[in-house]
Amino acid sequence: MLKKGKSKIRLILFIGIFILLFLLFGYLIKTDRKLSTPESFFKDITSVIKTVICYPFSLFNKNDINNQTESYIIEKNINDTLNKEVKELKEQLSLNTTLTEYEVINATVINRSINYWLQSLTIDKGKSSGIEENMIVITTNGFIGITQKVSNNYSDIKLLTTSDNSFKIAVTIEGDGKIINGVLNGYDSKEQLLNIIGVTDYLQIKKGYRVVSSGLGGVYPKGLYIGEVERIDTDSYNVGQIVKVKTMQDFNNIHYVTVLGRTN
Amino acid sequence: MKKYIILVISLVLDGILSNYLKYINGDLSIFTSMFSIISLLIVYPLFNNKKKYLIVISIYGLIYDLFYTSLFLYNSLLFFLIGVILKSILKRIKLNYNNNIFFLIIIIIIYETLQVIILSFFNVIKIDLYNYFYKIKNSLLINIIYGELWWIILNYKKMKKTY
Repeated sequence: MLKKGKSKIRLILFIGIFILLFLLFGYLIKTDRKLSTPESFFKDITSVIKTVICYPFSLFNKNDINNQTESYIIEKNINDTLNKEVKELKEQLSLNTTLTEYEVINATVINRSINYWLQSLTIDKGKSSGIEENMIVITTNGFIGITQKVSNNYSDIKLLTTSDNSFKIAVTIEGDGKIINGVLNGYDSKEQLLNIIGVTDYLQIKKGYRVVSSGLGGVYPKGLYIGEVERIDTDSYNVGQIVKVKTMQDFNNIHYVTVLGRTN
Repeated sequence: MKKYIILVISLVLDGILSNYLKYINGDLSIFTSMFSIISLLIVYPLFNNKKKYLIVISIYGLIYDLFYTSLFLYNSLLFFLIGVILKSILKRIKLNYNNNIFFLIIIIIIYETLQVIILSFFNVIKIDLYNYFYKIKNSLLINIIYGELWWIILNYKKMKKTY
């Protein structure tokens, strides 16, 4: 009798621990949650250690670094010119803000996440440099991801190649004078193409059309280059199109990035 | 002491290799390392006290999270679960040179399966079977070699006596 009671308690305890563990997993795995103060503190410390350990090995990539630094100087100059133009136009049109407004923060990639499923990078800039969660990250080849889990001196970038369900970006498909809206969501790992959903069936889209961010929703700037249309499929219900997009970026070879933050 | 050296070497190697090998969804290197996870099996026979083993690998998982994933405590819990599974399997079976390969494969499959179950259950990412098997396939080669190498190094004297 006593034994039966004990085994019942054990079973209840086991189920309780199992449920608790599962709920804990659910909280920990959230990619869009903000880091707590201790997490942020430890992330900063471990990132410094990691940088020191990997420093001798980063010397192998020196040639790449020189090329990319050069291109960044050019890009910075272009951004300055654009900013001047936008300022002048705003004055003429009496606008307070435009969808293309952003501030530029250049950063170096110091680490890749080991977790294959989450597809992220770590950069050497954080809150102290003005980075916040959900800021756009670009390279010279266009839009590559958004910031997440920002600590004081480091941030993670969620790449476009992730299959994260919550990663949705409003985009515009442009070509032959047409402007078609859609939502960038998901990555086809077999073909290595990005998926755009929410495009109605009757709209004619051709291979080679440009895909840029639409700026709708006010979270991300407008007009950031993402890639070009590679193929068009119909969805499983035959009511919409899934547009497959090829990016110019080699995601296996990212060393320097630019984070864009809204200025207002 | 030996066991802690193996754990540290595996952790550092994982970090270094992850920065050089292909890692993109659908474009993985066939040498994708999972040395830290493999080391959970390598160090298992070196612990006489299996409770201590579970504590050590949980702390190891926490360090792994702090350094590489930004998912604090996530791998700590996963490593603990893997430890419990390993403990229950290896209670009955003794590790040797031949079945070591089998267990190396098993530990990779267990880790990936647990990840896929958790990520799918909480609707974090879309996981298809192709990607699941692709990840396992690309992780096998280098990790089996790494695991076997450690087994030979640790059991060199025993093997010398046998042959």
